[in-house]
Amino acid sequence: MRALLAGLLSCLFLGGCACQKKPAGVDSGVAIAAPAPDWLAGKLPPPRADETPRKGGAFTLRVNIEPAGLTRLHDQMAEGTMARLTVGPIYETLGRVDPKAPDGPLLPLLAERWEESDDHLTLTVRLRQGVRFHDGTPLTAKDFKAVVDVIQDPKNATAAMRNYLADLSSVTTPDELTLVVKWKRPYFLANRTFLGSIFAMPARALSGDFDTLPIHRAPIGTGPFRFEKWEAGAAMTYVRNEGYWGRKAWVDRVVVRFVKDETVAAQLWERGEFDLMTRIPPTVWRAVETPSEANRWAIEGYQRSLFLENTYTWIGWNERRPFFTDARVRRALAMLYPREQVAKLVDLGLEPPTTCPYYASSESCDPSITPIPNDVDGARRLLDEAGWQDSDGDGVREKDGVPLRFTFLATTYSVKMGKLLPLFQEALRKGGVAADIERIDPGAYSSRVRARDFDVITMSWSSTDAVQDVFQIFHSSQAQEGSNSVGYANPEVDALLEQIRTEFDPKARAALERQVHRKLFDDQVYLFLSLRPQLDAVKNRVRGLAPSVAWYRLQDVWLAE
Amino acid sequence: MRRYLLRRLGLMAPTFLGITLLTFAVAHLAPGDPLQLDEENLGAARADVAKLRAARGLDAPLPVQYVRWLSRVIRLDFGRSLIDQRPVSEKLAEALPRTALVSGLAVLFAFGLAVPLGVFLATRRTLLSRALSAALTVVWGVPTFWVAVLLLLVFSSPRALDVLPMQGLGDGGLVDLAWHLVLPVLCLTYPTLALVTRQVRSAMQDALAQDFVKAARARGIPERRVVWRHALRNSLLPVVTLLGFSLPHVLGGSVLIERVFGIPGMGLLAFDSVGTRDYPTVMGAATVMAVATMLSMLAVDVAYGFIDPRIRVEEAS
Amino acid sequence: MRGLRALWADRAARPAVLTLALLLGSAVFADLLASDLPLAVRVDGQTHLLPCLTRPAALRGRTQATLSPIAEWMIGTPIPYGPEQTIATTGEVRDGAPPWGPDERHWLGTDDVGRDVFARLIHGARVSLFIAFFTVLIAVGVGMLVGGVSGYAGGATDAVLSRVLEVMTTFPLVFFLIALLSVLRTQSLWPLVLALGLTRWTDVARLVRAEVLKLKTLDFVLAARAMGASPSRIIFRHLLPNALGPVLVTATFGVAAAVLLETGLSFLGLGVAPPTASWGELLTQAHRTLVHPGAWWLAVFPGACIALTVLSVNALGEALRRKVDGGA
Repeated sequence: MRALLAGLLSCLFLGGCACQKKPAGVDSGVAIAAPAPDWLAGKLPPPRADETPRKGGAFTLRVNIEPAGLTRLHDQMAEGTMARLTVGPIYETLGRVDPKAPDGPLLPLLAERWEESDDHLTLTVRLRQGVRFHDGTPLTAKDFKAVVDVIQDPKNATAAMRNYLADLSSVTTPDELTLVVKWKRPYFLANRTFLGSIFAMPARALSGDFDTLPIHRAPIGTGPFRFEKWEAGAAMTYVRNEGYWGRKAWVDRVVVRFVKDETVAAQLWERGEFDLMTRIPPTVWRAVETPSEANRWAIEGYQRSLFLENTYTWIGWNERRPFFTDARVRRALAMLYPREQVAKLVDLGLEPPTTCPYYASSESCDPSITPIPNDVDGARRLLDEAGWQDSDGDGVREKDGVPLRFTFLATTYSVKMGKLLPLFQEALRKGGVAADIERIDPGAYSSRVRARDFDVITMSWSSTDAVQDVFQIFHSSQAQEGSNSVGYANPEVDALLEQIRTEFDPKARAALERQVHRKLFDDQVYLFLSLRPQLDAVKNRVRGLAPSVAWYRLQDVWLAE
Repeated sequence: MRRYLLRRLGLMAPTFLGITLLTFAVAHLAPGDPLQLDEENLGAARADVAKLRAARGLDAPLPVQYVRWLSRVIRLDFGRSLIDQRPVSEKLAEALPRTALVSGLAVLFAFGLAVPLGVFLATRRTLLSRALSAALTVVWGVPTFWVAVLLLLVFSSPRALDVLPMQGLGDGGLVDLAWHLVLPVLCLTYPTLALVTRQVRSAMQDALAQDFVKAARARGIPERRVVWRHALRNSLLPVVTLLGFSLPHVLGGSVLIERVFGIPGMGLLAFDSVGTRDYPTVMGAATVMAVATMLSMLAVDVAYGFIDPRIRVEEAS
Repeated sequence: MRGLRALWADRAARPAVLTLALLLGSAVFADLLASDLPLAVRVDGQTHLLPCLTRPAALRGRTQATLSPIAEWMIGTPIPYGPEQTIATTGEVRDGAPPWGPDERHWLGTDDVGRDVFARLIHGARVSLFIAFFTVLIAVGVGMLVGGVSGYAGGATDAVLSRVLEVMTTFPLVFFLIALLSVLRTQSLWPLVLALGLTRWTDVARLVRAEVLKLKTLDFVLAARAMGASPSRIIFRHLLPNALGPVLVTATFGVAAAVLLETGLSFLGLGVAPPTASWGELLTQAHRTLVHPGAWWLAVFPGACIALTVLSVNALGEALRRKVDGGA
């Protein structure tokens, strides 16, 4: 017992030394200055002319989720955010989104060039020469074909990717470096999706039973980093790919640490354990702003990075419910939404409002549309007009014996909804609308949404590309089983969405999309809430990071002395 | 003794069936299944999900699925996770040692300290013993996860002492591991310690007031021996019972503690699997729990026999 | 009543009884202690008595803050906020976002949507104690029934029930809760209470079974049986009442355990439905806000309430145990 105690004590001492790490560059002798405007705004500093990138070092970043597997093909990896956070630097696609013009054409990555036939039904891709997989084998067109074959095999759990290839007619490989993709019907997004979402994986590694492929646990790609190890529940490590075809990465290794708990993550961050801290909660983002001794580590040790992803949150009214069939009711509910309060108290001024289902800063959104302002009297009038009146004096409006009482469905873990819904609930009460809140676990939640068994849902749509098609979300054909879970059906919008699918001219398409935006707003399909910012912080020693719709390019990162 | 053991082992079969059947039923009661999670984004490929579900055996009626599962488990095949397709046995083998280490140490410390502490509190009536009693009652009343959060703030926060690690179990080194274990083990130890100490104390107080102790004293047996041999032996029965109930948790783990300290053990594995409707993993975890409980209950009964010979005679007759 | 007086005579238990009485009082009278509407008010030529309970239509949408300037007279509640009253109706405007620390308006501060912590603690007492009490009630009911039948009948019945007992002891509570709570979708507390109660009866059952085994060989039971009393009569009239003492002790400790359990479940996201206040819900918020922005009041006050309750309930349990043991 005594020996054990002595052992423990010595640990205490040793550990006490080992853990006392403070972020570099923090000078505690001087009084703390107010943060610079760029720091407050979350703008990363521009590259400095007097510095040249240097090799070496380990770059550690925090991620709030752990993937189930590391293959991009798998359904469980269908969520783009998770994939780009975890295996982003390992796999590469034929083309990539231009970070400077995300809604413009793709930039070539593994492809040298590509051509689209005039009827938009054939895509011919010429692969870059001399690209090798992490295992040393050269990349050929056959590898892409193998990937497509695996995705198309209905036995495999790749349905999420297969959905993108629904109209695929054939993929052929006339020679080692040429890939010919044929489609059954023209679709404006088909080629972009193919170029931007089909990942290069070695054909050899894909043969055998899909479920048990070793590549799920140890990915092999062509990217600037190569997989090294994965400690379940803790971290994943990549090392620099010395045989990379392009400019090699600067840092020796990238360590992705899985830390789910926000409080713990914030503390580890404060301890200086992350070079890149991702997904900072708005409260923490704001809390470290005050120039005080307690915040010195953040203000002097880190740069903040605020970037608006192509993600928006929304509240959807199930139009199968008697109280949501009338667009006037939906509009009145939007008028009751305490927009300013939520912006100030929940979003802490960090989430810009939106009304648009497309990438907010693109041509596809009609800039003349602004959110419906909070107007309780207007909402009351509108509800009266729509026939919803409180005739029995119980404080809740009703029509034809149906009270205007519904339930918000939210997942247990959404902090934002946990704050927002009680505020909205009270605001609704002022308008004679009764609302309950039901929070359930994500599994049950998606099951309820799928079964259309809800009154109101709270969700967000997210895309890693700035060009997108909302057909799945708003076309009436998708109401039964697709993503149109609120059951929206407007023939005019249907026609527009169909027209968009075969409109290949970006300008003309944007014009149609602006019309969709207008109609969705008039119909108040959703109560569009806000754009979700990506709130990150970068250690002072880190250079070369620039956020974009496609996240960061870790191969550009280097660490200053 | 051997016949008794065999009989007890035989009785485990229905318990095992009961536990797994109940877990199976309850796990499937919750809506949703692992393949449905993203189904609404699948569009045209949605039809394939039915095929996939069939391939995974998820389309069969539940009783059939249960029997299939059972027949595999008897051959020690826990199947594959529906989420990451890894063998469940592999996932269990990863999680079990972590939980066993953390919770095992906690049980060891709790019971190892509780017995002497309980005896001390029962035999001494000093200010110190009273203060200790009160302190134990107070700490028992504070939620563990809360204590865990506070301890993290005090010992690991860069704003306070910043001496202990916050997350996980370190990366291999023994010293590092010991270091990472301090807080989680502490959090798991104190409620059990408080509970068991109280139990030992009151059992000891009862025992010391009984005739056979007085008789022993009257016979001139030294007080030390009276306390530690005669009285304590009689106070151990309830302690052994408590130990029996604690052992399953050694393998089951605590979701709360594992979550706060980021230890990917059995508790988190089971909890997360329930959340993602990963039935094979849920069932695997439940099986481990079930077997652990039954074995520890058996161990308790056998231990009773050693502490109190009367019980063994009774059972054998 | 006699029992209460006897407890009161036990000096050691007195602080515990007082504390519990206070908690119980605030739970019962929560609506009179903290509400958005006053205890009594005269406004628009009408007098409303106890509008905080009756919630008359005429005062709909009003709060004590909006009533006080226009009322002829008003008797407010000690804490002029309802437990679910966010800034949407308090209309408070301040520089920063909530949570706000304790001040003269909110004695114990607010939570992260501006709800008064004191009001939430008082109403949370109701929820937490309700859950704890009914959980234990169900557990005791089921436990006594199973334990009593098992102990009295013996043989095959006992063997089967013992297996059931073993199964329930092992069964991981979390599974049961997730499943039950996602099936029984409701705003009420009953699914939670039911799930907790139905998994926590095993201690009582084990205890009762042991007691019954001991009691059934005693003369008065043998006599009753000889006189031809039915088994159910023997169990319910003779055996269970005599086992009540130890059960009461266990049940008391069970209340403490249930209070703790509720906090843990809230932390896992399995607690009461929002916006209902419970202590666990407050502690869970504290976990999120303690470091940034440093909302210590969300941590300290609910934590103290929980610790105090558990402490008092345990002290009461100890006192009861002394009574039961002394009386036996």
